[in-house]
Amino acid sequence: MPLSENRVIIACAGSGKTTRLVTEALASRDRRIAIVTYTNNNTREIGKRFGEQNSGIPKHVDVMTWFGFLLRECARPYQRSKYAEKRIESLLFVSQQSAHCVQESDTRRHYFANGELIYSDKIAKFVVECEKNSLKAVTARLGGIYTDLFIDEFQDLSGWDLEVIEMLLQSNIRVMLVGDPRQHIYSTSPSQKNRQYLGAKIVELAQRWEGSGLCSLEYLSATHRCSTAICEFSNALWPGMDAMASLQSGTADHDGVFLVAENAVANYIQHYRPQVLRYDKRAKTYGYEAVNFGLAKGLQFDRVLIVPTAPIKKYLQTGVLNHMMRTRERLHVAVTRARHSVAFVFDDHSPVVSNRWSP
Amino acid sequence: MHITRVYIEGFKRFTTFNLELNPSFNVIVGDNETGKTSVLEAIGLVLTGQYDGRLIQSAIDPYLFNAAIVADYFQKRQKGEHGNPPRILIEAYLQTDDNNSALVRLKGSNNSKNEDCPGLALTIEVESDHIETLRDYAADESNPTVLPVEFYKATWRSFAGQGVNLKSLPFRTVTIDTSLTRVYRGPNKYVSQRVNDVLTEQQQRELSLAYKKLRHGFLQEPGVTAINKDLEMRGNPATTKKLTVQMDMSSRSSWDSAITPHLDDLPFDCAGKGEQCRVQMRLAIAGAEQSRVLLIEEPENHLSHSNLNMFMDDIRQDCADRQVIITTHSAFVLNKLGVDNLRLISRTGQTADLTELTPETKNYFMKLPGYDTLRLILSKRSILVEGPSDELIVQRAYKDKHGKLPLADGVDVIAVGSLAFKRFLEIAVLLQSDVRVVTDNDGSVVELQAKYAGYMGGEHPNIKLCYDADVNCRTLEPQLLKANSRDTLNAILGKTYANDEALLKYMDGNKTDCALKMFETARAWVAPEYIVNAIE
Repeated sequence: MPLSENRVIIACAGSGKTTRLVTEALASRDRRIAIVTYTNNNTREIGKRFGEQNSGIPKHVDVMTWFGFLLRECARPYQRSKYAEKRIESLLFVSQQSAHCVQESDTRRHYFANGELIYSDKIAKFVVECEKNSLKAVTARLGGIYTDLFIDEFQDLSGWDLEVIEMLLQSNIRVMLVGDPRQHIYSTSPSQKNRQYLGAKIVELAQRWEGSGLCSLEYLSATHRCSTAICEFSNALWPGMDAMASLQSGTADHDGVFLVAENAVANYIQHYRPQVLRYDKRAKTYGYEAVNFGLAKGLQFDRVLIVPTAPIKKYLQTGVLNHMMRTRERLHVAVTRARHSVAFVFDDHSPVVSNRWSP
Repeated sequence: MHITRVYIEGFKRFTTFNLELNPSFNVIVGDNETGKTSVLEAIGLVLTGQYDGRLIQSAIDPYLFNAAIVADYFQKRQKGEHGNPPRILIEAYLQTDDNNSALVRLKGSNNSKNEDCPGLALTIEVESDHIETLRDYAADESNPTVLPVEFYKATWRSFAGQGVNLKSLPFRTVTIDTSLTRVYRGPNKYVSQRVNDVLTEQQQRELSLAYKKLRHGFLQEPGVTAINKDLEMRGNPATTKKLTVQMDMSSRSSWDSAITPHLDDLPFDCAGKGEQCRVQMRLAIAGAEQSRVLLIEEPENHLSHSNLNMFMDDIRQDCADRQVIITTHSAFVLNKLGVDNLRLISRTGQTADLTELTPETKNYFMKLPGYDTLRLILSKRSILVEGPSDELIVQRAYKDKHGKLPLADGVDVIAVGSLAFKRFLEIAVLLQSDVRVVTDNDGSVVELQAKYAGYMGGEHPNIKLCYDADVNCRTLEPQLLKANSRDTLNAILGKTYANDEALLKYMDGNKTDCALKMFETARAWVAPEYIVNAIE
């Protein structure tokens, strides 16, 4: 079997994956590249990097969001092969399964609100159907426009989106998927499809693709951002995954992971000026400005102070991962925002963090 | 890049209309009122999103819509029936080229034929918010039956279902205006636009910058500074703010509103029309990097014959690799570009073409562009004759039989010469037009039959060959003598020849004079039978 030109790159926090995407795009001026990202934030971030490295997005590169890509470049061009009644005007974002009582055979109501707004959890399914009905015209057209497709944050893809990825991997376009399964927070779809690959499990899917010759798998495990102690704490969250390694050489004053007693928080903040991170707005932040774990994605700080949720507290207390299956990715994101130090507001002893800060 | 097909719905004369196009030349021919101009307008509209020099959204007017469709809608509504609101759809199907990524972006199957190819679609339809407003408006008999276009919107999209804009398209469309009748304010915007098309982006930026510097320099002129000082000193009762005169620096590329092209130091507008047209053409075909579609309307209307000849030569030589769509009334234009490039539009909106013409016939008309091929193409029925004398005799015979001249019945008598008969017949076969050929037997029926083999045995019911089998009467004159007595002819011609030989000799020597007298005379005479056959 010939080695596939498609690549899946598992890149840890701070490994410079966005820089790499942008650098690689700039180095390939003879190709036509679409960079697809999941969040608007990330689209802007990529635009900003192109600004820094090239004074703007070059002609041979288009940057778009995943849903923009699905709507404009995949669903609409051949929508008539599946649905010819009306033009697909836009997307309707849903956080739960859409129209779940409607039979698949009722195309209009299964996929659309008002006959013209396609449900965000079904658009990928629609695209797969169009590709089938149009005898692969969707990927043929894409291949005529782009030689390369870079898909960032692929850990957030789920459900039928993964089928679209598989469809693209099988086409003549060179695909590069970049992401960090440990940072899976958002999900493109609440669909039941491919539920088994949600979150960190997406690595298993990537391994399956590699096994069937659809792509090769690479790991970027060295981080420029986080200190060794922070890497160690994070690695403990992910037994069995490739371990992050710090590229930091020097040490700063107050390097590492710490516990801070609730009554010492004010003092600690005054001393180190960390960014306070919280799960959501229900968390107690002692009157300080805080950023939600989810929104902190893509950002970096010298020091962070984390207000733990009950499951995180349970983990700190026992060191048993099972206590926080669903918050693990968010905790990972929070911890890996920091360059030098991570502190938890936590009064008890912990088997996973031995350092306690006291004024 | 070229357009393979245009599909039009509800625009001007067309309820539905489909036109296949050649990659290079397309000569659109049709009678008046068949919509030649509308076709060109529709193509310009779908390729540029503009109508009459304005974006279509701001140029929608009720007369763009097909009158019959609009009337039908109003009628239905006023009777309380339902019907789809009038709309306009124009689609341009483009040739597929998978190596041109800019073209592939326009690819998809969002078109009325569900065809997977690149293309553009322009729709003018009632806004969904206003469907019911329009419905009620049309039902109200007190309202004028003019479509309220304020409820309408235009959308311009690729076959991929995406909105498009002029800059993103991988080709340009240029309308060559040979009439030059538009009223321009200030410099010729149109020609400046053409110049702009030819310049590279870099050159455009340089020109724009140089112009900005020039305007900036204006303010530094001592005279201007003094005036501004003076204005400032005097103050203004209406405002406490400083009043000065400045150049308008706002528009980025406004050089094109102040700079005008010159030909030999003469402003473009002052050059002769023929020259202007040729320059427009040159500009339109310059810039080889971009593929272009040229739209030209009836060039014969505004050019002298010699200018037209040069203009057509330019087009033929320089545009062979562009798509040219030209409308015309002139057989000269058609023959010059090749009769096989004809796209005939009939009154019923049907189209026909001559792509299957033999290369010999195609070349024949190209080399002899004076032949009036269009008369044959456009007339309901034609009678082909050898020369002017035959024409006159046939005209008179027709009038005697039917009480009016053939043209009044839509029958065209065309003198083409016996050598060209077969060329014309080839066209008649392809267009299925009704043709009678009136020919001499020239002394050999066998040769005649050999010459027109394939046309005589009833293979083509629309074609009838009329000749007399009597080889002793080879041409028209002996045939006339055979059908009439010497006395009758002598009387008509005002002669007194004593024998047939002398009379025939005179007639042979003065063919046209004799025919004219026969045509004009008040006396009755009998037409030879083969001519009678042709005018039945």
